[in-house]
This record gives sequence, C-alpha cells and structure tokens, in this order.
Amino acid sequence: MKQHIIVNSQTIDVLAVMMLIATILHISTGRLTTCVWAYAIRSFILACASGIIAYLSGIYHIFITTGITLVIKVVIIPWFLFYIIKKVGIKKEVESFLSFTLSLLCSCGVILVAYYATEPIIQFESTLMKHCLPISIAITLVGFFTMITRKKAITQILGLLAMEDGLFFAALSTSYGMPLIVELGVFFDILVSVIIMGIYVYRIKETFESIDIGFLKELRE
Amino acid sequence: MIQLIILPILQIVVIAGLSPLIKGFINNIEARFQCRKGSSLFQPYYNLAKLFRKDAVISETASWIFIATPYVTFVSILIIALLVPVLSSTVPANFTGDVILVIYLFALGRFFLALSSLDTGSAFGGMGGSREMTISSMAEPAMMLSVFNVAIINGSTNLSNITQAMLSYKLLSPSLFLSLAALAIVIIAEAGRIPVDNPFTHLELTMIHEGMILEFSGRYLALIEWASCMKLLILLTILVNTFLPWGIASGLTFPGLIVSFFLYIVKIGFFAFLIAIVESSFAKVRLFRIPNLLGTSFVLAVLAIITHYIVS
Repeated sequence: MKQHIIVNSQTIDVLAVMMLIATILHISTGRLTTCVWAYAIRSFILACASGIIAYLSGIYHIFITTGITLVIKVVIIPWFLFYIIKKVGIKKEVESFLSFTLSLLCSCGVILVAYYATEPIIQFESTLMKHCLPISIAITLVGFFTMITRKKAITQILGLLAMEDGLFFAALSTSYGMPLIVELGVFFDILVSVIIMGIYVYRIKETFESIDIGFLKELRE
Repeated sequence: MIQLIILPILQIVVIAGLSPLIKGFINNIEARFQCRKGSSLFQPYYNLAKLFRKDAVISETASWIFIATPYVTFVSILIIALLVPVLSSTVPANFTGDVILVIYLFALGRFFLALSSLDTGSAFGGMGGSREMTISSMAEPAMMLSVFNVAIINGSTNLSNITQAMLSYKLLSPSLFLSLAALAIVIIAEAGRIPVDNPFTHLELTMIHEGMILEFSGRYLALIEWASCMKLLILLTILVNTFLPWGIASGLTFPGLIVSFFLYIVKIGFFAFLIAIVESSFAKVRLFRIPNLLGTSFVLAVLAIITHYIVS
C-alpha cells in the first residue's frame, strides 16, 4: 500500500514537472499559436494530475473540478484564443521587451527562486509530492513575468492564465483543492475575464491597428 | 574470456548493422506522413553499397587531413559503440573511459569534419563548418549537464554503472524527467535532424552537416554517411539505455540477450518514430533561433540538477 502511494505521488510529481516543461515551452517559443498549444497541454496535464489526486484522496468534488478544467481550460479557452488570433490576424511572432535567451534565463532564475523559497516548507512535508508546491509557485511567478515582459495583449492573457493555473495547482496539491463553490467561482471568473479580454484585444486592434500594448500610452493626452 | 570477444563484436554488429535501417525507417515514416509510398527500408544500405563501389574524387588543394577525416570520424564513432551499453549492461571498453570520453569522441569526429571542410577551400564547406561549430558549442554544455545529472544521481559517470543503477527505478524521478527532456532536444541538434538542420537538402541557406561533407565522394562519403547514421543510433541508445533500461540483459546469457534485443528494437523504433513525427510537423528553425532551442535545453538541464539538490 505504501509502495502504491509513493509510486502514485511520484506520478503527480512527474506530471508537475511536465507542467513546468510546458511553461518553459511557453516562454521559449516565438509563435503565438505554440504559446496557446503550450497552455492547452499544461491544462490537460493539470487535469490529469487533479484526476489522480481525486482518485487517491477519494474527495469526489475534485472530480467535478477535473471535468470543468477539461472543458473550460483544455477546450473552450484555447479554442477562443485561436479564434481571436485568427480574427485579429496577428502576425506569428511574439514580441518581448527582453530577448528570448534573456527571458529564458530570467524565468529559470524565477523558478529557482520558487524552489529556494519553498525549501523550508517542503523539508517538513512527508515524502509525498515534494515538487508540487515549488512548481506551482514557479508557474505563478513565470506567468507574472510574461505579463510584465511581453508586448502583445494576447500574451498578457496567457500570462494571467499561467498564474491562475499555478495557484489552482498549489491549492490542489497542498490542501486537495478549495471548496467547490470557490473553484466554480474561479473558473467562471477566468472564463469571463478571458472572453472580456479577447473582446478588448479586438477593440485595441480596431483602434490602434496593432495589439502592442505600448500604444496604450497614447491614451494619456 | 568468450565474453571479452563476443560482446564487442555483437555491439559493433548491432550498431553498425542496424543504423542504416533506422535511417531508412525514419525516411519511410516521413514519406508516409507526406502521403508518399516512400523508399524501401533498406535504401540506405543500397546507397552505402553504391558509394563504396564508386571512385573518389579529391580536390588538388586538399591535404592529408581531407583523406584522414572519414577514417577518424568513422573510427571514433566505432569506439563510442564500444563505450555505451547496447544489449547488455556490461560495457566492453569499460576500462578505458566513461560518458565524458563518449562526449569528447563525438567532438573529435566533428572537429576533423570541420577541419576537412575548410581544407578544400570551398565556400560552402567553410560555412557549414562554422555553423556546425557554433551549434556544437551550445549543444555540448547542455548535453554534458543533462548527462551529469544522471551521473550525480547514480554516483558514477560510468555508463555501465548508470544503467545498472537505473534498472532499480520503477518510475523516472522528476529531476531525471527534466534531464530526459533536455537530452532529447540536444540529440536532435547533435544528430542534425530537422528543427536544427535539414539532413535531406543541399540548399546553401539551410545546410549545416551537408555543407561540410559536400566535397567528399565515393568511399569517403560512404564512411561519413555511415558514421552519421551510427551517431544517431548511438545517441538514441544512450537515451534509451540510461533513462529507460528496463529489460536490458545484466549478464551474457543467450535468452536474456534475445529478449533485450527485441526490447531494444522496440524502444529505438519508438524514438525513431517520434523523430519522424517531429520532423514532419515542424519546419527548420532559423539559424539565429537555434540558440533559443538549445538554451531551452540548457535551462531544463540546470533545473534538473538544482531541483535534485534542493528537493531530495
């Protein structure tokens, strides 16, 4: 039984690392569609992890959040983002204030900060799921980092979604998720905010002929 | 005593004999993705046989380095074939070196290829050589870090010991998973496959490895082509037998080797299929984007080592 639990928690650790790899893919790629694919893949892995956690812990409301994750984060949001990218006719390149290599190294540093910051906590945990907390905080911080450094409005949405993924995974792996009603609220928030931001992106494009958020400074007159 | 004779011969035969087949397999799968029927699986063997029968043309300005290069490249790859565990976790040339020697033997072959590409004075050769050296200067640290992570976890740089130790793992640990991902990216760069280099074209804008070997012909070209096939197979073997060594024979019993051989074929075939998928679904990246790809691999390898130290 003990062996069984250790193997399964290591599965969750490996899934967490795969989420981290998807996040690094999101940072390192130069194409917007690949960024959206990275988000969809990470959400799918997140859904797998939460399904396994639900099965192991026997808390059934996590199954519900797993299902909602699959529907909203893996299908609806990526589909909507692809739709916006097509509708706005964005060029494929991602633009950033930092060079790609530099932003890659910075996010590597951010991930290490997350590991060092959580080291005192994970020392006291049992052997189960040692990588989950640092990785979820790392994903949150990297999402924040992309929101700061990327120029386009769509990449900002993706940064926000990464932060939300990280927080969701932190709650899931440390305390088996938040109460169901809170999570439903969060999902609804995310869905609505992505749709509103999508429409907003479209309006920015209509007004400035570009979705570079640098143009928003021109609002000050 | 028999072990000392049989195992090296077996490894050389498997690596040298199977490597053109792997190339043919990848080409065939890619042709099927493009809705073509594709050439036979054995086409690379026919190509090699044809090249060995042809005369070699050597530039008048070429020095002895040009003639020595095919042999140096081929022999360095053959030595590597003796340094990695293939069918059995025992390594024939275990006493001479470890994974660091493997990495530097790859570097030796590449160094001589780059020299010979400059030797004939052809413009394309020099361009290919400089590109190859640029890429390898970024691929090598990433490869070393990801292999060193495995070495640190298992407490040995000896590939035979690493394979033995990895046999006891039921599931890859997160840190090993990160270095597996890093090594997979590096292998694509080292073997000159599509997101980094296009192995099928002689178009001057894209070529790296093909540019270097443009001046070779006849049996010299055959040796270099064969060596590059073997390099791909050996890199895949290192990946498979250090990270997923399940089913590899520990001793030298006949049934164990048979089982190990079939599992080896299945695992290598799986990774070759993955390479074919990657090559069919991605375009070659621009030369100035390659540091980006290899930087990703480097970051993954660094994270692998540091997470191992922090968490465990």
